[in-house]
Amino acid sequence: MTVYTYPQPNMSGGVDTLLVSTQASLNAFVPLTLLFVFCIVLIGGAMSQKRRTGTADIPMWSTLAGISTLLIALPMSLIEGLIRLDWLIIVVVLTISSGIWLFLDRNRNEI
Amino acid sequence: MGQIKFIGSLLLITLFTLAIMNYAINFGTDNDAVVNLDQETKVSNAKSSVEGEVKTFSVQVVSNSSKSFSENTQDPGDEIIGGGGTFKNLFLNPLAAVRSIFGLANDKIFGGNKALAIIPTALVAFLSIVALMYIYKTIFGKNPD
Repeated sequence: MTVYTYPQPNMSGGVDTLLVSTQASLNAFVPLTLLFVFCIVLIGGAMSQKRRTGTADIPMWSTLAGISTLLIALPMSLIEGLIRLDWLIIVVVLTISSGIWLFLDRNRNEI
Repeated sequence: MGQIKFIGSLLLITLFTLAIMNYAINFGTDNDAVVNLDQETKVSNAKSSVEGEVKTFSVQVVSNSSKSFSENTQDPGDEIIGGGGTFKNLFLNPLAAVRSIFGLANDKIFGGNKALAIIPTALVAFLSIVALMYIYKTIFGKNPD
């Protein structure tokens, strides 16, 4: 069995070094974190709304989840080695796609 | 979905897209971000394209095209009117903006794969058909459904 070891992060330069070091060791760290945020907001919000009102507005929660993910991804773009350009573009495009779904969706107050 | 809701949806999609793109780009520019959305030429081109299409929604352009539509003359026996400039502004320009957005989505989410391009292509084709049906309905006064 292969044992993988990772170097301990040196946090004397700031706590963000911990994230950069983890990302350097595990390339899927940031995309999975963003996916986690997206899913938490989408599923949590939709389920909560369904419990309260009986219906879940999935397009609205999808858009909110996209915007939430974008707000997490944008500060990551300030630090080198944390997020890649194509990941940021995918987050932006997913947010816009969710917005298209929301605006073209039939809402309840429509006649 | 009614005609006004359809036009409103297309317009809101273009404005939402511009807001998100400009926010992300300006955030990176203002804070000297290492990774900025503006570094990708396809994103910049899509943004310019959407901005170009949404400019036709200025009051002046829409007023002029509406005037040309309402001032059309109709000869006796004609069933339809001639002017169609309003539809270019109200339907076709926002539709072109949505097409640019879907083009970017196809390239960045599906990797520009021609086999998967059928998904955004089918969506844009559907929206185009709906727009054409609404134009038909307005000109001929008949229900395309």
